[in-house]
Amino acid sequence: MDKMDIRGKFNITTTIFLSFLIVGIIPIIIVGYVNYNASKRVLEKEIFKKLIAVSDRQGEEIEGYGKEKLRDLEALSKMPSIIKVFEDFNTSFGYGTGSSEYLFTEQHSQLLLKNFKEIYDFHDILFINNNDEIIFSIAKEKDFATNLKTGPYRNTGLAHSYNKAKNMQKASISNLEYYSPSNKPAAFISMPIFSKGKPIGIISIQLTNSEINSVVNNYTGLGKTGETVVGEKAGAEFVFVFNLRHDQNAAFNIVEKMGSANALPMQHALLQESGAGLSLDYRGKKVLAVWKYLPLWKWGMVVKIDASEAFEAEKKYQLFIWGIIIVTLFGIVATAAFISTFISKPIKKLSQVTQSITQGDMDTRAPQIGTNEIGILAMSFNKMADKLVNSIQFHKDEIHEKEIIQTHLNKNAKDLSQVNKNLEGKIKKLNNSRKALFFIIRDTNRISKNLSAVNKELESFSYSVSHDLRSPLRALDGFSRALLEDYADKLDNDGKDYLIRICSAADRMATLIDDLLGLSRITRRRMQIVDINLNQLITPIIKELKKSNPARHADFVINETLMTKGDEHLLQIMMQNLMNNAWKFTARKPSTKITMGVTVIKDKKIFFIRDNGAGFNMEYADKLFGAFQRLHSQKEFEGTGIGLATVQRIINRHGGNIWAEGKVNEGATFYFSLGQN
Amino acid sequence: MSNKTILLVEDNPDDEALTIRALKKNNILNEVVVARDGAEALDYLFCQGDYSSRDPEAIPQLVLLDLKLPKIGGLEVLKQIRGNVRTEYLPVVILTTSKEEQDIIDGYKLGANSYVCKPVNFNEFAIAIKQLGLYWLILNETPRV
Repeated sequence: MDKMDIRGKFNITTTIFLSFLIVGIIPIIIVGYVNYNASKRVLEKEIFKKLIAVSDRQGEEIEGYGKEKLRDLEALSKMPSIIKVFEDFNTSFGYGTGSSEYLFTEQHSQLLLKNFKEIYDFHDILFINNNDEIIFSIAKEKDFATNLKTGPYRNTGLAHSYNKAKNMQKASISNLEYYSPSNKPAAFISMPIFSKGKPIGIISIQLTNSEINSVVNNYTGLGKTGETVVGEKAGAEFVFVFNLRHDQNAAFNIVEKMGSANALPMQHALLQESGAGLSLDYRGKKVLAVWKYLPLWKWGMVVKIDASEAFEAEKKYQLFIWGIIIVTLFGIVATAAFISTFISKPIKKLSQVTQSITQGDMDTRAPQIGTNEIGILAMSFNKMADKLVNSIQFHKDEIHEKEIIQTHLNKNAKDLSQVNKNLEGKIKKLNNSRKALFFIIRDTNRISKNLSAVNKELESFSYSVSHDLRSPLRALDGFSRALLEDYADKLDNDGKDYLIRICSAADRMATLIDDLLGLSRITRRRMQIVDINLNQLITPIIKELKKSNPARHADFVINETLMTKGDEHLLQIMMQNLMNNAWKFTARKPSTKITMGVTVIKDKKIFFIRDNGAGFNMEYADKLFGAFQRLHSQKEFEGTGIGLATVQRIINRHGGNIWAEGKVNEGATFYFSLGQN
Repeated sequence: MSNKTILLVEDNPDDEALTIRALKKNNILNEVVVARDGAEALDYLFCQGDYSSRDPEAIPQLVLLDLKLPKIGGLEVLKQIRGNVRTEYLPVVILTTSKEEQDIIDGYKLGANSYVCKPVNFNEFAIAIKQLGLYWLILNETPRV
């Protein structure tokens, strides 16, 4: 009992419900999870893409600004007017800054230098002579006229850049740091200046941080929390050189040690690395950051955005996905519950009915529910129950009937066996007939196959006959005549007579062959059935016959229009033969009478041709139409015996009939019908 | 009358003898060349095989062509005669025993100039040959190729 499997443990409703739930939930969770992960990755990628774009743009602008100022200073240091002014100050400075020479120089150069300062947007332009003294400054702050090696400002950015430029004889950029004479952060670029190949001192320009500040503090594309941080190394520490979005007092106020746990991206950047990632910023907050090193300024630059903001969209999406999953789950549960009750209800009902029938209540029936499989099951069940009731009743009746039948059966058994025997004999006969029929059909098929082969053979045979059989005849005739012509003097009358007989025999044979060919052509011809007026066919034949022997007294009687259907060419041949026949056998009568007409026999249109000629004995009527069959000698009437055979074949091809009636010396009548009518 | 030849294509020696006799009887004295089958006729006309040394310019004036011939049939010979530039206008008279409609149609389709049935009766045959000779050898004009 413990091992009963799950199908037995739960009732049908629960089983269907659970199955639905399992089938529904698992894919939803998998799809949700996969979707969430994929979109999270896409989202992060998007954010980093944005940050990198900002960092590239700002980095380029900051470095570009420095490079531009470097180029400006280089141009300045090579201008002859500047070199001239520098030399003038160099000389006049020797007389003291208050001297009239210095003031004169200052007065004459003021306009030029101020213009340059304005054009190039410098905070100050400073000249430093070879003795490290600041001999000129437009701003004339406290640093003016001090010595950069020994004076109070020997540790400033200006002094550092000156020293480097002097020592290396090339341009040098200082750090951006607080400059006390100006009381604000400043960066300096210094460059040696030459006159006629000799170094005459250093020219420096002072830059404020305002230009770069505006670049750094442009938050376009950085959302609500994004910002750009620029840092500078100062020994083991580093300092943020511009104010920040989150700290407007940051410039030079936020100082961190290298290696500290905060501001990790900046530390990476200052180690001249570039990269991107999730990290902690100077506030110790989680950020998505992109960092890089700016070599011209020796600055580290970090562009970053708070992780909380970056993932805000993601959180929303996550919530959305969860929402969908929960709604769908509710849907699945509801559907599962509905379907499971829907399916199981009729089954339960059915099972109740089954139980009551089993307990003997034969009148209970399942309710009608729909036409689906369950509905059909219920219906079938009901039918089965009906049948069961019927069959029980039937069995009762049957037992009763059986007893009656048994007595009858015994009585009939004897008769039956006799009938059976008769039947068996009949079946046997039937089988034999069927077999015979099968063989007949098979033979018929074989015969019709053979027949078409024979037909073909016949065709080529008649062609050969046409050609080959005539040639020897020609030779017979030809050479006989050659003998008659060329050797007449050597032949007696008997010899000549024989030769003449040979010639006429050959002639007859040729006619015979032609007639035979005509007969076979009739069989082969393809028929075209059209309406035909027989009168029109006969008229030229009559004319021809009369012309052949104008002396003969002949009467042709045709009083009706003889319309029929058939192949015109064949019917013409037929009429020609019939008329020739009549004409031939009336030749010995003093006057010829040939009548043609139509009569009706058994609802059939029958044509006839009647002559008053030699006639025939009805005993031989069946021989009339056979090929080569003749009822008269050649001497009496010439002929090949093919004419009427041809006529019969033509009539047969039309599906008609021909027969003849006659009496010797009193004439003959030929009757014919043509089937198509 | 020119002395141009008549090509008689005939496999039956009897018919050959009768034809030649009929020609002679009617005073047609042209040289008669006899080809006993279609292949020989073509060899003669196109100067190939046994006739390869023959002058190809010497084209017969008339061809009397039987249809039922060994090797190559008369209709095929006619087809090749009409397909060759040198012989395309050569008068060809089909002289045969066959009266089959189909043979007559085929002969004319392939460009025969005449179709004549050999009659069995020698007198009729002789008359036919006489008329043929008169017409094709004397009256008829062919283009000089």
